[in-house]
This record gives sequence, C-alpha cells and structure tokens, in this order.
Amino acid sequence: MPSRIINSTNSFRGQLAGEQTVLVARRHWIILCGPIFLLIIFALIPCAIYYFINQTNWYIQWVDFFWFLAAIYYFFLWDVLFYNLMIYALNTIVITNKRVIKNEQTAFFRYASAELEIAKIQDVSVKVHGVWAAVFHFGDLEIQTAGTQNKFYFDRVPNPEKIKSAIMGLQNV
Amino acid sequence: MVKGMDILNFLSNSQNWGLLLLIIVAAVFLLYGFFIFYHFIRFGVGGKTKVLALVFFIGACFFSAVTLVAYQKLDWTAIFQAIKNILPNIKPY
Repeated sequence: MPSRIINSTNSFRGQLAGEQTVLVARRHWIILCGPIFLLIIFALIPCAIYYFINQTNWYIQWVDFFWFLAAIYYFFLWDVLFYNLMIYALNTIVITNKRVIKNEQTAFFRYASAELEIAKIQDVSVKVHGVWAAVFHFGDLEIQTAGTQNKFYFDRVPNPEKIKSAIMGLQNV
Repeated sequence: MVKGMDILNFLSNSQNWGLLLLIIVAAVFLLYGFFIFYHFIRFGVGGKTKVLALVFFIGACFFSAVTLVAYQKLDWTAIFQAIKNILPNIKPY
C-alpha cells in the first residue's frame, strides 16, 4: 500500500527494541543545486546538437542513430541524477530517544555509521556562517560527549537550532 | 557449445554489432540501476527514500523502453556503411 510506505518514516536498519525515532535530518537541499544545475546543462546538449544538425543534408541518414544515442545519453543522465539523490538521501542524522546516529554514504557499498548515546552528550553547538546559510537556514552542528566517544560534526544541516533543541529536549526527559 | 567460428559468423553480420552494443549498454545500465534501487531500499531511512526508488524505477523503465524503440528503428548495416564512407582513408592492417 503506497500510503503506508510514505508514512513509515520512523524505521531504520539497526533500530533497537523500544527505540523511537524523533527526528531524521539530511543535509540542506541547497547542496543538490550544483549537481542538478550541471545535469540540466548536460541535458540540453543533445537539444543544442539537434538544433544545429537538423538543417544539414546528412541528418536524414543519421536521425535514427542520433535519437538512439540521445536515448542512451538521457538514460545515463537519469542514473547520474538518482546517484546524486541517493548519496544525498542516505547521508542522514537519526535522532532517537536513545541515540544520535550518523550515517555516511560516500559511494556504492561504501558507508560508515557512528552513534552517540543521548545520555552522554555534554554540549551541542551550532555554527551558521555566511549569507546563504543565514538566508536558507542551514548550518553546522557539533555534538560533544563526556566520555571517550568521538565528537560528532554535521555540516550544512537544515535548521540546526531545531536539531539542537530536539537533542536537548531528549536529555531533559 | 559456442565455437570460435560461430563467434566470427556472429560478428560478421553488422546487425549483430548493434545487438552486442545494446547488450553491453543494457548490462551496465541494469547493474547501475539495480545498485541505486538496492541502496534506496536497503539503506534508506524512512519512506521518502522508497518513493525516490519508485520514481527511479519508473523512469528507468521509461528510458529502457525509449532506448529499445530507438534501437529497433536503426539499420546498422547502413550506419556502418556510412561510417566507412566517412572514414575512407583508414585501412586495416
């Protein structure tokens, strides 16, 4: 049932018994603008080529071959688009009632996952640098723990203050 | 069992070169597409990644169909002949 799939936003791989997802955050969508802009430029290339060659005599002979290559090319661009979306979608911060989990996907079958216990978090700091960060409400988030666990650093997350208050709120429960 | 002569006979037909190209392209794209789909479903957190996987799958099916239709319209013999006409000075060893 599609509606059930869309609403099931609170489950993830490695979820503990009794663990509830409070917040799932990804990097700000603005980081997708660069790759998508480039893909749009690349998508216009066959159209530009078509514009120039459709007035030539030999175009009639090559028209089918041109569209075959164009179909493969657009298929390739579709794959590249979704590869970028995949990398974007799989880099997440999951905040549950027990842990903060950072999932990092860098390529196919190349990922790292790290976690911090909510109870051990000592300090959460937010850094917003630059005009774009202020306008589009994104920034960096740093989580410091009391123990020997490494500190967490998330760059370009949307509404970092909201994430910070969610973590602080969980600590006070 | 496929013999060397069978392969030579297969490759001597220029239509088969197109088929070979299509098989290679399809294999690469299917593998790449499967990896993307698998990652969305297997490692995605929440429902949005599943929706993205569905959109990707529908788009991949569409582009596969378009590529197949474009392939069916091709006359590889004419294409190879045209390439030979364009490159008359290149002689085999």
